[in-house]
Amino acid sequence: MENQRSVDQRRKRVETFLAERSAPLARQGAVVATWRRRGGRRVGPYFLLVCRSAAGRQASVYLGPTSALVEDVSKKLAQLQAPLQERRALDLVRRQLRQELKIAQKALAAELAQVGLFRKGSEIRGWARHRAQRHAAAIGSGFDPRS
Amino acid sequence: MDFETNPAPQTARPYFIPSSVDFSALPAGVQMALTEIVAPTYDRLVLRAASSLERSAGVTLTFLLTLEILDQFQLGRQFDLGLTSKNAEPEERSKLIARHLRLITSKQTQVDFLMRLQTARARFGHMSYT
Repeated sequence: MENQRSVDQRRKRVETFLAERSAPLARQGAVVATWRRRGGRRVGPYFLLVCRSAAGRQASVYLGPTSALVEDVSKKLAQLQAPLQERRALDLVRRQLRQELKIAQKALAAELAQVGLFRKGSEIRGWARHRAQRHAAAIGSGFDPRS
Repeated sequence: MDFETNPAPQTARPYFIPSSVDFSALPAGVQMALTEIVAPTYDRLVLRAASSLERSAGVTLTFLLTLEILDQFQLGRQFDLGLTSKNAEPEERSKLIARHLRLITSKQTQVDFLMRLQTARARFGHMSYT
């Protein structure tokens, strides 16, 4: 049974740590499990919330053994890092879609080439040549395109 | 400490999204936009395209539209000052806006091209003499 006063003090320390370091924690930081040796026995896990400041200095706060506090802090950390995770997911999808777009643009270029058109950047060019080709082909087939 | 619960989105995966894309990892708003806006566009411009050229142009336009939605979502987040004011750098925001405008220009060109093709088809029965 844990000392309630001690737990409350720890929770307060953790809340202060979270409030003071919300910016670096939004970028990185994790709840890590640590283990100790007591009488030749390995005991734990005991959890720490660790993060690195902008200057590269590591800071941590002790959370204690598995408890509601550890769960709360893990959730809070996930909440803080959610915008970054979301942005990373969107960036990944954007890269994948860009690749698909390139493939689609290649296919479009091949289709355009068949009718005498071509892509230049995002523009479709070659309309004058295309018209001339079609006009010549139409006259050759006896069809008057102006009719 | 209070924590919000984030309900899992239940939007069906649109079939034009490449298999490499983890659709479920996208925010619920983006999933819904892709399903409600891009999927009908894909149906109309690609599945019901009258020619292979229109189909190719339709596929390109669909991907541009999808990227536009992703950009809009990200830009919206940048302006959501209550959430990201500390992280939203003005430089990054400008970069995002510039990228978005390039994308819009590209998409508009594609739309113009498709309309030209459709007008020509309506007038001549095929895309010749545009």
